Amino acid sequence: MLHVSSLTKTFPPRLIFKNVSFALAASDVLHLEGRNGAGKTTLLKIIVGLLPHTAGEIIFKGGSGRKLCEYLPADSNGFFAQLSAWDNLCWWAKLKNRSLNEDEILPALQRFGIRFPRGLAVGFFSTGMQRRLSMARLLLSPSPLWVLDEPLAALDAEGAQMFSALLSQHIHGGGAALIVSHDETAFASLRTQRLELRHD
Amino acid sequence: MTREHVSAWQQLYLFISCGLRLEFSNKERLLSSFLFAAVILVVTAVCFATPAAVSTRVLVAEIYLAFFLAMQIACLRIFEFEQRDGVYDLLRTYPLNGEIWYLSKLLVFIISSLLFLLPLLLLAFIFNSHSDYEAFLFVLGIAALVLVGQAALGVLLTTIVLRARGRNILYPLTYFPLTMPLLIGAAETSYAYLEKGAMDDSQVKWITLLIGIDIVYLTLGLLLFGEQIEN
Repeated sequence: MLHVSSLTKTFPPRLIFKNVSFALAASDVLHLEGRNGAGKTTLLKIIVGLLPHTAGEIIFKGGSGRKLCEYLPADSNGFFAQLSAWDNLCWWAKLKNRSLNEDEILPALQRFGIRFPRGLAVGFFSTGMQRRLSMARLLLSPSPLWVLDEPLAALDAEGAQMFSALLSQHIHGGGAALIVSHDETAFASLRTQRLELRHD
Repeated sequence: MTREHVSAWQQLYLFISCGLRLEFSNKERLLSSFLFAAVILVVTAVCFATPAAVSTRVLVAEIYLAFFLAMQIACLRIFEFEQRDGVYDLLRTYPLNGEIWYLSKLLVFIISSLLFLLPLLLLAFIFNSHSDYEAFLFVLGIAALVLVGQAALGVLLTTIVLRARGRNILYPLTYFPLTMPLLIGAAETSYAYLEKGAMDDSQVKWITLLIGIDIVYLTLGLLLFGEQIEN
């Protein structure tokens, strides 16, 4: 699904990482490790096309990166604050050419404990509830490769369990995930590859 | 799993419908530009005694000054929702058509700007005791041509400077000089029409120039916007 070889990134004059290589196939989970500032988020942004890389190669198999990847950033959830959870989910799904009906959206929202999906604007949700809504978006996304930056941020214990179950379902369904997280408990039950980024 | 891209028409529809919903859900955005322009009109109407000989000049100056300044504010807020809600970067990771994104942003901006342009012109004509209906429509048409050019330029420049270092200074330094030909052309044409009450050859030349500039800015936007969101 994804093959990365000798990937190097510099923000001149600073070298962020050098010669990073890995591959992800269906049902793979890759946990990206490293200290703060090691370049984990930068690497994810390069994979999803938000940043250019300095050297190396990224090859997606089965389509373009934009088609295959569903990205969850660490610092935001990407929902319009003035729209409802329902409208946000429909909008994002349609942008990936997936029309959702009530039988798909409602269970997804209920699964993550999101109430008032139509009546309340997302701006009124707590940060944790917005993160749960992001999980609903992941669930409804047709993209097989999830690129997740601190997916557990702002989630409570129940939310973390929900994420764990969601990730497990995705992986067992043939999806793959590239994860940056300082909390490994949510995917401890899955067979996980590890890659540590460090400054040499 | 669905793998196809969303069609251009569907993307256009999705972006425009969402954009308009966001614009209308935030009345402050619509109101502040209009009120800003209205204040300029009121202050100039109160402060300047306008003898009949110069009243047309004052009217034209008021209209385009108020319009230009209000548009300047509106342009700076084009990506406000996307930036504030973290949607902009996420959209860049989706398989979208950059030209359609640009066009939809442009159309939403033009529609919402027309909402303050219309009452603004009405106010300007009322304050200056102009009751010529045809002149009003003519000036509205010219202002709409300015709007298209300013919007085409505004969407592109806002995207370019979104992440640029020194964007606070870069934006006005590029936006102001590039909108000057539009404003000069619009002011000349409107003034001539209001004075004579009919079109002549020189106005046709100015209108052709306005349309030409609109086309150039639109083409630039369509060509460069995709590249800007990629990088």
